[in-house]
Amino acid sequence: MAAPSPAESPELRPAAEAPGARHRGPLAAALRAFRRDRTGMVSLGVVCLFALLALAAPLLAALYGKNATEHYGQDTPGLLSPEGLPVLPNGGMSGEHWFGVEPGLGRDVLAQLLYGMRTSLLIALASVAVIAVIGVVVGITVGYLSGAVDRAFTFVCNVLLAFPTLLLLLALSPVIQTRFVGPRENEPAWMQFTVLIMVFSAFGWVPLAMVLRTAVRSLREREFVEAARAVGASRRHIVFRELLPNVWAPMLVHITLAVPGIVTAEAALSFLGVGINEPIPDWGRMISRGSEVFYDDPTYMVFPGVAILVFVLSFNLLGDAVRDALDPRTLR
Amino acid sequence: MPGSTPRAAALPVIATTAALLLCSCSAGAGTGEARDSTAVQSGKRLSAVLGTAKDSAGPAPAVPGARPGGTVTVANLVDYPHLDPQKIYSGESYSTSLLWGRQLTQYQVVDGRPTLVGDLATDTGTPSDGGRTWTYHLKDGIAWEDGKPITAEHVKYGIERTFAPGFEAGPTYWPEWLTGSKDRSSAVKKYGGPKDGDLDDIEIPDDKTIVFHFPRPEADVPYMAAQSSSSPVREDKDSGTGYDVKPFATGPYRIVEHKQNRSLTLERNPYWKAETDPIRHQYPDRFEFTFGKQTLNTAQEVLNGRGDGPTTVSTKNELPPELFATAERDPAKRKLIVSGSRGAYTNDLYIKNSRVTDPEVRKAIHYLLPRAQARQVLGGPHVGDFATTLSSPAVVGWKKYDLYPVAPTGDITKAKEHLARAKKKVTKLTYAYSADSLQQDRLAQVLGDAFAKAGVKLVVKRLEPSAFYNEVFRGPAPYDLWLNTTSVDWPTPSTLLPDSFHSKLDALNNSIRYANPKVDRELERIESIGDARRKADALIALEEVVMKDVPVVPFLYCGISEFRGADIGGAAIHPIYGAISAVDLYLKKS
Repeated sequence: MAAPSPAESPELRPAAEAPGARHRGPLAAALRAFRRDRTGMVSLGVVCLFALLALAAPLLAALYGKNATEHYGQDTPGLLSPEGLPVLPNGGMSGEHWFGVEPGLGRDVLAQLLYGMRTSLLIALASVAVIAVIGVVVGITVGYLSGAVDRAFTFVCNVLLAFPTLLLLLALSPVIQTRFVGPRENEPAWMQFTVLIMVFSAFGWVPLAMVLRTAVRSLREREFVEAARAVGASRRHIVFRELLPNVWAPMLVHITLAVPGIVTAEAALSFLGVGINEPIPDWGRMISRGSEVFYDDPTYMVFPGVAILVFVLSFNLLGDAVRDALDPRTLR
Repeated sequence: MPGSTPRAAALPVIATTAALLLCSCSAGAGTGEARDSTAVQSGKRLSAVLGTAKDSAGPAPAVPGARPGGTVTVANLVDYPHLDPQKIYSGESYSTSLLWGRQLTQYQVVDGRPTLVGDLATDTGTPSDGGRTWTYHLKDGIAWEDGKPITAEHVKYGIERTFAPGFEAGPTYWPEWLTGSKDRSSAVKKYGGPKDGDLDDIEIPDDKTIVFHFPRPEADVPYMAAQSSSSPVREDKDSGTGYDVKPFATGPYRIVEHKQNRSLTLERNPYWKAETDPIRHQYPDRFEFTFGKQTLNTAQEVLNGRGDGPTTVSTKNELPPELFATAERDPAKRKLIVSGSRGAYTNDLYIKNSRVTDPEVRKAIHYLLPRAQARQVLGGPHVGDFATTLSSPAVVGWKKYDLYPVAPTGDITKAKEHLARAKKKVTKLTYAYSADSLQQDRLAQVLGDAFAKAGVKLVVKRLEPSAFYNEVFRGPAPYDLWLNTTSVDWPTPSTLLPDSFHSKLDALNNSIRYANPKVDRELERIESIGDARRKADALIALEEVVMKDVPVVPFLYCGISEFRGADIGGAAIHPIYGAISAVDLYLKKS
């Protein structure tokens, strides 16, 4: 089928209502295209599975009979050698500990992995939610207003893009520790999460806003916007009712691709010791531990490594599929 | 992307399978029981006895199987911060500087047992006047690397240098003892080094005799005379800061070239005579030190015998924890691991007594400390043996005592009993640690786990390494517990209790703020004892009195594991300096 003509666009309903719509709108076409894409469907399945596992982690851990914080290897003789390495081959895999035990502290790897997924997903989804809201509001507004606002926006974006995020976090972490946490207290978990989410969103909204700004700038001159303006619609109406429904496609693609980016960034920060601290399970820290014991217990590195690989890969493939489905050129 | 769909979907599955297959060869650590381990024997008694004049005569007993010749490569990660004998102040530097430097006395090591003997001096010193006067006579035939004889004047000049500005890095005992001052800063007000002329307290009646006059009885002079500070220095060769890079040699080797942070080359000193030296050997032709290569790379080269590996040794690098298990499993590699006691180092859980004032709570902490679990996350038996005493077994007069016996895994029931007896209920304690390795994070988790089992929340504070000492070693520091590794300056108990358990000491020395008037009085009485043996016995007896209050919880007698190439012979950990002793090394073939 042909790409939707500009004339059809004004009738386009907001994204949430679209699936219900029976007419052959671009969304229905996109959905059909997506269903035909097997890679997309498989990666969507994997992503859903990950989400389900993360949501049900406490339940699964209860069924499995292990938790993520207990030092099984230290409390149960025969699991770890005096040097702290798993006694059984393959990282101590057994019927009791399916994925083995962590070298040193002797925690259960499977339970750590399940709870680590919660950490990663919570940070990624919360950051993406903030990014989407800021990016959309700023991007569309700036794209529509242009002029001085646009110049100011471009400047702010350039500043933020030039910001050394990783260095900022490395430098910020001890400051937060000493400035906001009392000497008799540990840094609370919510603070660690909030700091990461704030930093990821503070810098993550920029590319989204820039994409949307460009999209809106080209839409702004289209007939349907001019028509709305001609009938005396308010700016608010034009931005939120006319422009917003037309940019959800690039936004959806952007945030789907942002999730794996944030998951790897969070893992990298924890690997460097400025992300999430002990004892909250975290994939990045597991990989860092895995690299320490790689000579003696390579198996330990496999589980968090493969988990991140599969997770990021399926999210990326899902993002690709979403883009392909929404891109008019691939619609046949 | 219709065409590529099935293959792309299969990718994660293939990746997972491949990764699992690749790693399925990862062997387990085995049972960990009944294996011939490279683990340390740090609990052994290694205290140095005083040798006689006969022991002090050279030559040093030969290392069995040793042969001369060849070049030994010493690959250390970092260069020595100081080579100036009066600035050197660490066990490994002491040990390696024996290659080119000689002192008044020194430790002769035979079969791993140390004896303090005369080095430049004919014996370990003769006290008179109740320990206020010490007399040393120099041997005949001792010479500098240019052949000129070493005289009493040179020894005196060397010790005078310890008073001078710029020498704060070294030990402060000579200035303090010779002037009878409490600390170095008040000592240097009385005499400020060679620029103030002669120090009258060191008398040199002739070229071969040195007489020290101390205002107070000093029992430990023979041990201080073995420190690098007691090396002779020739005024005409003293180039100031340049002497810190290339000192003038008196030992079996002389420094040919020292490129800082890159290399240090030693060759035989022709004027050194074996018959004057009961400590050192002159087996290899040359020593080539290299600095800067990462420890893990050096260790792998050495253990696998690649490149220069077989003729390489490291006197400073420790076996990286990553290779502990590999070295344990492979007998060929296990042979190349050199383990021993890290001198007189001990690792204890320090308790800030001014914060945790109730002895019952401190006893509870003693029972709570999960020694076995903590050592396991630190790397296992390699890091040391469980301690029950404050002082190390390497200390003269050491006696084993175990005031509150406890299983290595801790005793939660006993701890709860003591906590119940506490005057005020304790629910929260803080543990501070330096964030210098990830092991420390895990150790904090282990401690937190154990304390939680007794109903005490352990708040673990991770401090930046640079901030740790400033934060913890100050009077009002808000932390209750921290692990501390420490050693006496020489193997007698004289620098242990008097330097850290007197209530008048500052927070830097008495960091736990221990204050017991009875102990203070006893320490002041012991200070005036001039006889080394009686002083050591009195201090060891006092140690048990102190430890009854559990001011600190003994954790480990520290061990050390280093590595040597397959062709390197004579490698053993120096029992006092806690590093591979360079003066006994030889090449099996070259």
